[in-house]
Amino acid sequence: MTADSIAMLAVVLSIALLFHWLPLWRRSSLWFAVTVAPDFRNTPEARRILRQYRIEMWTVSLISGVLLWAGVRGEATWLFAAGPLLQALGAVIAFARGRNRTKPYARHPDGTRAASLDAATEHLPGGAVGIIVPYAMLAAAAIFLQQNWQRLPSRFPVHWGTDGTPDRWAERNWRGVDGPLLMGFVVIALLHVLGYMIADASPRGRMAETADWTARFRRANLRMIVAMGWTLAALFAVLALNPYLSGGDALVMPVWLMLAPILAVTAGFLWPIIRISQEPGSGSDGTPDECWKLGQIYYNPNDPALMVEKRFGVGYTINLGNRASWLLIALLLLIVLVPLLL
Amino acid sequence: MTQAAQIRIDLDSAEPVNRQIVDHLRTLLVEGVVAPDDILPSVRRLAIDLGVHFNTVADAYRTLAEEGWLEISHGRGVRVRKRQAPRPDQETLATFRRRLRQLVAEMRAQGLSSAVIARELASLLEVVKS
Repeated sequence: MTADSIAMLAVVLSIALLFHWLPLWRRSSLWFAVTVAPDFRNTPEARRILRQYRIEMWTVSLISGVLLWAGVRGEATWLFAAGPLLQALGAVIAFARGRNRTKPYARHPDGTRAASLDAATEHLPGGAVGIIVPYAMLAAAAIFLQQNWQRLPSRFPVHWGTDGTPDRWAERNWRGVDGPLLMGFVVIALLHVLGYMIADASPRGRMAETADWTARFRRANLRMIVAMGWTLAALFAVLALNPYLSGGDALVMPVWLMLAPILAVTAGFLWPIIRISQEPGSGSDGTPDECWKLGQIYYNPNDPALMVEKRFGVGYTINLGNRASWLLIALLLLIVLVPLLL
Repeated sequence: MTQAAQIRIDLDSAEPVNRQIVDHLRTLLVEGVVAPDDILPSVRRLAIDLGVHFNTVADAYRTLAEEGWLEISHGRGVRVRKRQAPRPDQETLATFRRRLRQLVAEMRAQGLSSAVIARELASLLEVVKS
């Protein structure tokens, strides 16, 4: 087995484990994106629905692993892409089927709503420093590279395989040298836009008795976004500085050492979010069940919120019923497509 | 205003949501929970938090502004005004007397004794006085 195939199978296994636990990371009155009684999760019906979802999800993951393995062996290149796609699609369908099985146990959501009269604007944790530092790191790397332009190799690698062998090169021009920094800038800016949208355009808590839970959940999500901004800025800066630091074809540090901080920060900041999501008494989220398509896509033109809490997995998702969401998606597509077309 | 001040509505109620917002906010204003010069959330913020249309909240704020409770200005948000209560005329008094009679009758119909009703009214009056 090659390093590539081991790496890809590890990814499939990690995703399967994630999907295994994902349905449990939700508010206490939600089960497969359906509003239910808070103690429903302890009933035999709930356990049966979860078990069926997991059997379906693991079956699809197993097939995905086989396809991927066949793809790596070179039997058909398209299998290489089909494996992970099938796994993601399979998990989404398995969740939607679990949702349909849960619907007979649905409870009419409580119609009472409560809102704080606090007018203070919520900011990202860490204030201005939390936002500026990642951009400052990228700017510092750009200035350093500019000042040491002549010391950079005329041709250097910008992409490596899992075994550390370079497979794509760039020339010493602004695009090749500053490209990683520019990409880092766009990714971090998008993260900050996402954070701003959560802080400014998601409900601060629609149910009076769970307002505290919502506040802690929001804060934990925003903390993770700020931390990811710092980590990604460091990663993109190291990548941009690599031609100067290594001077040759090698990476200045192994791939795993570059990815480790991202995984560590993700795990470290995700863990409190998961802990909060599993607390009892978190109730429901104040969004109507019928507006959740497949239990995962929120479409509610009557809800002015642009972002709402996810019902499958932790974090936030966009309200596709809000016209501003389409503008945002168009902007994202533009950001992704323009560099490809240039 | 205390940090815990909250507004509550019931989407299942037959009463229109903008009416509920007006009634609840007016109660908080009269009882002093929300005091003059306090800043209230913007129309957009309150609409997102309650999950109702912007116009519903805007309409409620407008009603309270017309009653003299709020000052709505672009860029500076919604501020609570120091309001001088108008001098009630006989017609106003008669309207509220009729509504009170209906409410007391409803309470009696629900089995509450005269003593309990009197105590409730007295305690409400104390809250307003304080």
